[in-house]
This record gives sequence, structure tokens and C-alpha cells, in this order.
Amino acid sequence: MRFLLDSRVSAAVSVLSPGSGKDDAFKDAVIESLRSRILHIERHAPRRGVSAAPENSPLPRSRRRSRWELGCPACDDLLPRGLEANSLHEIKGVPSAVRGASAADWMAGIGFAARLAVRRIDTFAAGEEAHASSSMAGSGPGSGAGSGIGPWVLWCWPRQLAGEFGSPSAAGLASLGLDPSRLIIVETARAGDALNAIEESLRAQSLAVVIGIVEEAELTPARRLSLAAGETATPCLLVTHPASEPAGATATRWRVQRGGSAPHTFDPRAPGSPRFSIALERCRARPESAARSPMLLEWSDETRRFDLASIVADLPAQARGADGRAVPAAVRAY
Amino acid sequence: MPSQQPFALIESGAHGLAIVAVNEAAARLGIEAGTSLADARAAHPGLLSRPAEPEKDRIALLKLARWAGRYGPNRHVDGNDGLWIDVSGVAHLFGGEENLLNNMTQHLLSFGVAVQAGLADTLGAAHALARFGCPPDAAWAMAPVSETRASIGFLPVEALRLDAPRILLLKRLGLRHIGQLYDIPRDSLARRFRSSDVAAAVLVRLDQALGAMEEPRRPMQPPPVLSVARAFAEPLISSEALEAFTNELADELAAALAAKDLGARVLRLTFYRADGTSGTIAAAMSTPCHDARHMMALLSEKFSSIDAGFGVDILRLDAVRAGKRGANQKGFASPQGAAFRDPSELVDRLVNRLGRDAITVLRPNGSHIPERAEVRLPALDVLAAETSSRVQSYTPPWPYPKRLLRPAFMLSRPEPIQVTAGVPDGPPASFIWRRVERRVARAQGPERIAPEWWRTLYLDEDQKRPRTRDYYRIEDQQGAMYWVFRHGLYEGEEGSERPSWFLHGLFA
Repeated sequence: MRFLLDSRVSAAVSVLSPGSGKDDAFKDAVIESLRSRILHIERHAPRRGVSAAPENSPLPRSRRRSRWELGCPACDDLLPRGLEANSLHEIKGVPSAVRGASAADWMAGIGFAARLAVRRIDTFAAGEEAHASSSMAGSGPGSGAGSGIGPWVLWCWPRQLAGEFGSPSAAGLASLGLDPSRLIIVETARAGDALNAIEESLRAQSLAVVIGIVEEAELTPARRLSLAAGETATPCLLVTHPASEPAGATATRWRVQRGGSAPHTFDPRAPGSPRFSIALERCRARPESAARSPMLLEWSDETRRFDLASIVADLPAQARGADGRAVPAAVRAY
Repeated sequence: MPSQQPFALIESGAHGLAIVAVNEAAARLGIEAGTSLADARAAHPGLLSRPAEPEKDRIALLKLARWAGRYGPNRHVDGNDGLWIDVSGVAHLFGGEENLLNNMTQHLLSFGVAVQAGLADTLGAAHALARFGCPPDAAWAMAPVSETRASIGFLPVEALRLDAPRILLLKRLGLRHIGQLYDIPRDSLARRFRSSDVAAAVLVRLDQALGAMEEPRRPMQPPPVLSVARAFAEPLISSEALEAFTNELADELAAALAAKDLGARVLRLTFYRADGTSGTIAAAMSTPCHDARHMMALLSEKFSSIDAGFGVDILRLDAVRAGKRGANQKGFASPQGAAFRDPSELVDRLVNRLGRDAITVLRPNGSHIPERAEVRLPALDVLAAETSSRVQSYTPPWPYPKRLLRPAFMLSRPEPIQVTAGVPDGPPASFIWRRVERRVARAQGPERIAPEWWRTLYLDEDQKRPRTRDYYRIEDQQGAMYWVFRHGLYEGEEGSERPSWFLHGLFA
């Protein structure tokens, strides 16, 4: 563990590295999740991910712009500089079938990307709120849907995928947390056109985030996207075919699978908050962070952030591993 | 057709075949349009003839009018055998009006068209000069600026574009030249005619020819708001040169637009090739633009499609439509203005490359049926409407509560699924979609969406009635979430078929 320079990081890594005492790690994970629950309750408390800056002096505007975080400390600590705005982030599902991937595999990646976009916009809104001189600057995170102000998001994919999954629905995007009236949808006839359009959009400096969905990006187009993102500090979230070769030249690559959703607060038979089993496969800023075991994150529509799923309480007994440790189905499958 | 042979175009009329047009050789023999073919043949047995094709003539004339756009954007055909072109402010491109006329008549002669041209301050005077004022040894006649009166005074009254009975009347009164009309007091002119209508018609045509009265003209294309052009002595072949000159034109147009406080909405670049053909490229913008850089960015993408052919000798850039710019400037302190540029430029570039319908935005629509509750509209039109209207445009709110859980993707057409349900009215226990069986782990519902009853009021008996839908959010054992609905109710809606199940959306 010679690379540990920072006590905050070391705490996080000891939570996650499998070699450092299973029981301790598990205990820490539980504490972590309890902590985040408390943070849920106290919505105005400073989040741990951005707590490096003293209270009441939010990060400088430029830094807010240049990075954003998932909102879950365990995950954010893997990334030394958060998710960098000036780079390309690739998100892939886990192929379930032997050949190709099903719609569900794609949806896991797309869902994760959409929620990262929500985080990005909220980070923006928070920064603007703190810095705008007038109170007209928007009413903060959570007020995005349907308000008609706020940054634009561009969604780009080839027509063939649109034919398979249907078209993005305003109601659905609003329930994810994106403002449907500030979304530009680009559907191209060919996959190459989609990559070109994404690159053009990244260079435009008019968008908070570009979500691109393509079968595959080869090294050259991926590098072009990465450079374009770097020029304007517009992040690109690229969702690619679960079974395709990963693109090079990405700052991070995430492997995402849907876990069974959290129990619903009021109805035991209904699906609750969505959960994702996340693995960081590549992290350019800190290669050691990559290739760790996957984490189970839960997205909360209320706080609009990810959190470690509290898996102990809600899993039935048979889902626990042989050592008594609860392992979510999705993680086992992966 | 050998031009030495007398030749006539004929048409079948009320009195047999009549001559409608003759060539020079036939005219020299004294054959005129209007005589019957039989009479002409009797005098000149060698006369060749062919049926006239007025439709083809008309098309050829329109083509010629399109070509004539190189001499000015406002032009159209004039009668069955003429063209008019508004050359105001164009002559300097050709080095003066004489050079313009020489250039034009030479081009037309090289196409094999016999030409007589007239240039004057007014359309009426130019018409008179072209048809009656051309000296026999020249292809054109010109009335110097503000000397129209003197220039057309000696022309016959036929040149005034009057119908035959009025010409006859004028001649009977001894008025043979236009100049004779100048001296007659207007009131007494009216008195000489039997009716005041005739006098009025003559006076209107005279006033129009002399510029005392404005004459409405309808050009071939709506006249551009602003137009800049370049003519080249040596035709341009290389696309680099074309691009460089277009860049100059864009700068010029941008400056002209900015001076008038306008912005272009539609741009058209027309290039006239040396061989008489022409081509255009166009670009549309969602917000009025007077930024030469942005104009060039849109045009230069289409430069590859330009075929310079034998070279381009005239290049013209028009702002076909323009709008008031700055009507909706972003506030200085607004959060968005500071961080981001307006997306309309990006939309323009993408539309230019991918087509208008490829770039869309979602907007609410007045319905509660999920697939009709929203529409996807071309971003170009929506952004234009939302930014350019003088009045702050009202965007209707999204018609559903924020917390409603709806799928991120809606299939364009709900896909039928085979469902096994525990109880008939309950959620599915498992279902087969796209040939894969999915076992349901959890389900939430139903959310009942009734059909729009007002649409069913006037349906005929045999028409299919829309049915109630019961929507369920379901999660399968892999964690994927779907939006499915049962179409119809079990305890008999009318026409009670068995209810069927469909998958309508995917949750992301």
C-alpha cells in the first residue's frame, strides 16, 4: 500500500480491498452506509466528497466546472480528481447472453450514464447557486425537471439503436431527473455519423454533458472525442455495446449491471430505488483504483446521488454467502 | 436547321395552320407571323415549317431566366419571348452598364439565341427599347440614366405595351410616336378618347415607362433581403479559391446585415458557371445570425458538393430570409449566459450535416395517453420559435407530476408479449418478450389510463374502440425494469375481446 498518501483515501481503500481483513471491511461498509443515510436525512450537510474545502466556501467555480462526483464517498475516493469534465468516460453493461447483449444490458449502462448526467447538472446548479449574484440563478438541485432553465444536454445515438429501444421519453427523463425541455436528441443514420456529431457537440461549448450511445468506438474516434472534450471541458459519457471491445483513450471505464432494486418503502412487492453493481475497470488518473471488486450503489431520486446500498437489512437469508456475508445477486453473477 | 433556308413555326388555328414565328431568311422574304401557312407556301414553295411547342419554349425561357440570375437576383420572364432583370447596383461588377449589356448579349448569342436588349430606368422603357429601339447593327439599346423621356420619345406607340385596339385608336388619332403623347395635356387626352378607361390605360403605361408611376414586378424567386456578389474575369476552378471568395462575401454580408441590425435566417450561395449553368447551396439557421464565421462554418461543409464544372465566373451570397437580431439577448447575470454558449449554433451545424429531422427536442402535447403526451419536433424550428419571437414565448408545462415513474424509453409501437399472470386482474408472473422468457421479481401497479372518451364520441358502430390500459412497472429477476400494460379489462368493456398484453417501455 505504498501509494497511499492521504488518510482519507486509505480509509476508503481499506474498505474495499479484499485483502485487508474481511470482517473489518464489512463493518466499515456498514458504517459507511449508515453515515450516508444520516447525510440523506440531513440534506444540507456538506457532503464528504467535496468536504475538502472548508464549510461555507464552496469550491471555486472553475473547479466545480472541471469535475463532478457520484455523491458516494466510497466510490468517489477511488477517483483522485472525481469525474473529470474534460474527458471521455466509457460505460458498458455486462453482456448476459453468449452472443451480443440484451436490451436490459444496454439499459443498465444507459441508466447509469443518465444518472451521472444528473449529478453533473446538479453540481453545476450548486456552483451557480453559490456564485450567482442574483437569486434568480435557479432553485438548486432537484428543481431541474420541467423548469425550463438550466444547461442543455445532448443525447446522440444511431437510428438502429433507437429502433430497438424506442425513443427517449420526456416523462421518463423527467423521472430520472433530467429536464426534458433542455435535451437535444440526435439520431443519425450511421454509427460513424453519431461519433462525428458527438465530437461536434463537444466542441460547441453549449452543453453541460453529452451522452453518446454507440456500438463501439475504436481508438481513433475515441481519442478524437477525448481531445474534443478536453478542449471545452464538456464531459462525454459514452455508452457502448456491452460485448464490444472497450475504447482506449478514456479517463474512466465503468462496467455496470442492474442489481435488484431496493425494497419499496410502502409496498413490499413493488420495485424501489434502482441499484447498480458498478466496477471501475479503468481509471487513468489512478490505475490502481481499477479492477477492484464491484460495488453495489443505490440511486436515490430524493437526494439525486448514489450511495452504497445497505444490503444487510433487506436481503433475504438465502442470498447470503457461505461465510454469512450478504452478497447481492448481481454481484455474485458478475 | 440551316439558317439560310426560310423557316416558320406553325400552329393550327381557327383558319387552318397559321405561322407563329419565322426566321431571318423568311422575314427577308416578307413572311410575317400571323399569315396562314397556305398563303405563305403559295408565295414561297420552299418554306420549311414545324409545329410550334409553346410549352417547351416556356420551359426554355424559364431556364434562361434562371441563368440570368447572374446579372441580378430579381428577374423573371417577360411575356412569351422576353426576360426582365433588375440590374440596380450590379453593373459595377461587370465594369459598367455597357459592358454588362455586351457580356449578356454575347453569352446569349453564344447559346444560339437571337437577342435584343434594352436598358433603362424603368421596366416599361427597357421593354420599349429592347423590342423597338434596338439599332439594326447592335444587339442592345440603352437609355442613359434619367434620360428616359428623350430616349423613348421616337419609338412607336406599340412599344407602350398596350393592346391592339388601343394602339389602333392612337394611330387613328395621329399619335404614332410616344413623344407625341408628352405634349398633349392629360385632361385633353382623356377627352379625345371615347371612354376614360382607355385614356387611363394609356396614361398608366406612359407613366410607368417614364417612371412617374411605380410598376409592380414579381420576380422569379422572392427577392433576398440582402445580397452580395463577386464576378471574376478568370473563372474559378479550385474549391480553395471558391471558399476564399465565399469567405470574403460572408464578411461583406455580415457587415451589411449588422449595419441594418439584422441577422440571416436562410443563406443561399449561388455559383454561376462559365458554361451558363448554375448551382446553389443553402444553409438555415435557428437564430438570426450576422456572424461571418458561423455562416462560413455552415457553408463550408457543403463545399465538397460544389461542382465547379468549367469554372465559376460569378458567385453570389444571398440572405434569403433575415430576422431582427438581438431581440432576445440573454441576460447579463443569468446563470446560463455566463457558462454556456447558446446551443442554436450547434443545432445549425448538426442540421446542416445530418438533416433537419435528425435533431429533435421533446415538447409537451395536450394528451394524457403516454405516446401522445409528448412530441418530438425539429430542434431548428423549435429553437427558432422560442428565441426569435418578440413576445416571450409561453412554454406549456409538462403535463404530469414530477414524481411519476415513467420509462426512459418508449417503444415506437407497443410490442405484444405473452403473459402468465397469477390472477387474471393482477400483474404478470412471467412474460415472453422478444422470444426470451423473463420472470417477474417485483411489480407495481396498475396505473389505469383510460382512453380519451371525447375521441370515441363520433366513432361508427363498426370502428374499433380504444380500450382502457392498465400499466405495471415490473422488474425481472435480472433487475431489468419494463413498463407493460394490459389492453382492455377482464369484466367486459364493450366489444369484449380477451385483454392482451403489451410491452410499452424500458426503464433505464
